[in-house]
Amino acid sequence: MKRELNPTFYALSITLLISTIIFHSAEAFDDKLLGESNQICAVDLRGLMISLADKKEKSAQFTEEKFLKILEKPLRSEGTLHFQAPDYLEKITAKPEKERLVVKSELVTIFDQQDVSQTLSLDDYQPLKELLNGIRFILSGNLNALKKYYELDLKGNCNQWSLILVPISAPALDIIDRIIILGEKDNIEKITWVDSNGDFTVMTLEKENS
Amino acid sequence: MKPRTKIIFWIGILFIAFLIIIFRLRVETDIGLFLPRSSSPQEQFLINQFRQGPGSKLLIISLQGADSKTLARLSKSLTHKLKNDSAFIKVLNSEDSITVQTEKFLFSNRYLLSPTLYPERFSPQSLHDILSETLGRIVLSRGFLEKRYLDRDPSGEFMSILRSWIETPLLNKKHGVWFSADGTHAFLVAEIFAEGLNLNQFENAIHIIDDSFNDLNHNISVSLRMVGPPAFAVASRESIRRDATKLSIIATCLVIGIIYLFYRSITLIFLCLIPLLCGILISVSAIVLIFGSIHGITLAFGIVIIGVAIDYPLHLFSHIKANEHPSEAMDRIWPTLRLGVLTTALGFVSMIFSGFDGLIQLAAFTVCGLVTAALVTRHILPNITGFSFFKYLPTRVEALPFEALMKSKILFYVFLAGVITFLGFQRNELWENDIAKLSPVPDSQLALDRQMREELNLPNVSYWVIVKGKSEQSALRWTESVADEFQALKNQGAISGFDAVTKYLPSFEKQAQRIKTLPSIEQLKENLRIAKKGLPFRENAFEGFIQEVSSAKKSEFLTSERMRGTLLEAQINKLFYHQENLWFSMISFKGSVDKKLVARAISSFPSENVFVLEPRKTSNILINRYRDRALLFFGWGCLIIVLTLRVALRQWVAVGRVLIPIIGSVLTVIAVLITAKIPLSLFHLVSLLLVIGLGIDYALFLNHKLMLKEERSKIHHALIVCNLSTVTVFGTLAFSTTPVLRAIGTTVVIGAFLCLLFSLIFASKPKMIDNPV
Repeated sequence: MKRELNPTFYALSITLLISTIIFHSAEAFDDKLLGESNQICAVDLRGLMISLADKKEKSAQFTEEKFLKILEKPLRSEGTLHFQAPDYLEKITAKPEKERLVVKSELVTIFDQQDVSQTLSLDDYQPLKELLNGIRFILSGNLNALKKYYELDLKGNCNQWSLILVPISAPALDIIDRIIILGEKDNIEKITWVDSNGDFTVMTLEKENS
Repeated sequence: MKPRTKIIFWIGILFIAFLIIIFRLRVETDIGLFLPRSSSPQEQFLINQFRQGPGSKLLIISLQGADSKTLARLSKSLTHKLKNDSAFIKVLNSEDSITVQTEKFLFSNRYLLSPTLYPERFSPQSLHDILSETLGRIVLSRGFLEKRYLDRDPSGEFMSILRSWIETPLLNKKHGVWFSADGTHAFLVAEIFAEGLNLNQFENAIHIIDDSFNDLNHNISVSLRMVGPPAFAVASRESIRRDATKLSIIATCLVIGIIYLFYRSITLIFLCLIPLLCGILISVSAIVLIFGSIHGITLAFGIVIIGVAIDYPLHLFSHIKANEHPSEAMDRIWPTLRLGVLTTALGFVSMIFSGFDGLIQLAAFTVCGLVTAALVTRHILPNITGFSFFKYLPTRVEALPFEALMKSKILFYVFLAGVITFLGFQRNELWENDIAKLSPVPDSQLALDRQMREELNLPNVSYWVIVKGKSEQSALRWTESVADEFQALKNQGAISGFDAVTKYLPSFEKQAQRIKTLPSIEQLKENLRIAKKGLPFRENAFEGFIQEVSSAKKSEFLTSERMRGTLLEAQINKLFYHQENLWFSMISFKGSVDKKLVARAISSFPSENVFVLEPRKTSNILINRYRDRALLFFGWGCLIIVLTLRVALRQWVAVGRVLIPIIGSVLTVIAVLITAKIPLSLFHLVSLLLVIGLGIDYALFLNHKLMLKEERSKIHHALIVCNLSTVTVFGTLAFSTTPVLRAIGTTVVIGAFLCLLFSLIFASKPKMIDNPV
């Protein structure tokens, strides 16, 4: 069963956005520099991007917590992320309920517990497409293009760094305030996505045992 | 009147007619005039749609032949260029995404629009259930949007609205513009600005698109294609025009050759055109004077039918004896000619009472043209035709076996009996009942149209339910009642989906009903307090919601006027429009539909207000009724012809001698068409009218009493020239690629030839043997 989604379901693409950033981290689990972990060194955007873009296929476990202003405690979920170069992404939630989100080029599809799917085309929502493309540029190591969509701020050293992305376009800013990525070497550990209304989502990643 | 006076008088009339044509001529191209007056609500709706509805002015444009990026760029620049042109109402290459304004508009009007606002919506139990389910979705990816609105819209009315709209399929897009699913074709849709179905405005718009495309596109591999009613109409007119021009040039040359062969005079060729040209001139000016304008179809068919007038001067020329003034010859043949003209003209008079504007115009044109041509032949032509033009008239046609023909009546009767038997045993449908097959639009174009509509994912256009109301609100109320029935059918699985305007624009009643479900603020606070139990919401989580509910109670109701400028306007316009004082709402379906159950569901509503529309079926019924009416007046015309002949000829036997050959040829033509598996249409009917006109002239001349042998041979001469020229002209048309022209051509060729042949069989014997001069 397939259903077409109204373009307003940009929520899906936002999820995709987060997930893509996460995939970015999933990639980073392949830790080539493990042996050099004790060295303290400077981190630069170009170098970081190149090392992040180097992975072709990755999986990771995630734990996600959604903090809403009106809730006393966060909403927790967990599952697995898969990425395959160049543009295939899958987010499988296991708890509290099964759900599968698939992103392929311009299309986002969500399958629920009964495997009923809903599909959305990113073309229907330009601001989100911009946001998403920005993230895609990180993965392809295209720093110049990335700078068109985000103001970037990288801090820390090569062992422990944080990257803050602030969208440039007004429609994108209406949805996302900023995205904070925390990482260790070329490994993404935590992503915090701050909604423009003050809610925020924290996703913690663990390398999958393989 | 002296001959000179006559000529001056005639030139005066022609001059006036000429002035009228120069200053007043307006050729109407709106096909609507030739559409029958409608009777059922379906037909009225269809004709209104056809004449004024946006569908008949919609062009679908496709771009192909390059990578999708190039096509998308071209689609954008073309749209931009065409948008600023006054020839178009609108040009689109994608539907608008929900803009921030539309989203705000929808959100703030959610309590007027939400389909889920049933009375118990805000009870503690219902709120508790909704909130816990929503939290269950928010924790997952699919609840993202709900998260954004949870504090202000905890019952999820905004989401309910969006969810109910998802059923409307979206078009495929790529790079932000409409594309085929495989990404090889970019699509644009243009609505042409035109009053009625104006082919000239259509043509102009199509030229503008072509020119703009050529200006913008520098890649020779990229091509642009257009489908849709305006493109088809213009293309068929163009092909008919091209065909007609080419064929008429060929036909004219051939006829001139034939006339020269028989009369050996260039002057005569021009002279014999005078009555016909005068007939056309006077007819056109008379129609313009009476009706204000002349329709293109009247002009085309009218000229075909009065083409018989070219025979009048030919009769005159053939009858002139050596050293005789043409007017003496004219005096001899006038009674016969007059009867022929009168009979044919009276045959058309019946059509004037048909009540169809198009037929009335056509009949008036024909009667006026025939009478003018006859009068010009009678009074003017002999006076400008001097003795000197005629030295000798060859009568070589006497070599033909006319005597033998007159003895073959038995053979004719056997043949006629055969034809009648053949027709009597025909069980197949004689008429073309599917008007789509009469369309001059090539099948390949229609296939392309279907394919493009499919790729664009446009809704099913072959089945609708139409709701009619005397005001916006009454139409919306009716639509809501009907939609409730359909929702029940949908729940039963009898229909897989439908779209009605009330989803986007509910009636005032419905809006008031929804607002009524909102509890008092005190009640709401209490309900929320109970609902929150067992859920992780903070104390003052829903302050925003409570405020919004209290302001929603004072909402101003939505009207189509207030929807202007939002995304909803486009959705509403697709399904709702008004014309004069009537509002029409169109309910569209998608997927499977159980038509019987739909018909039963709407049977409780007045059929005047709620009805099923199947455009193809209705248009077929419409055209067939039109044809049947035309046939009826054709029948009345035939009766008038018979009576006129009876009065003029005084004996039924004489009437029979004139009519039997004509009936014989008409029946034979129909038999031939059936054998060739060509179903009959209106165009054949018009052609048969011409055949009857020709046949009456032939038969009357051959039944001329007190005929001298010399005169008889002159008649033979005249008829053979007449027939040969007719057969040549229409024979050329029979080679046309346009179905309409081909239908006219073949019918007239066969009919005219048979009329002459059969009339010769029934010719009266010459009374006296005359000495050759």
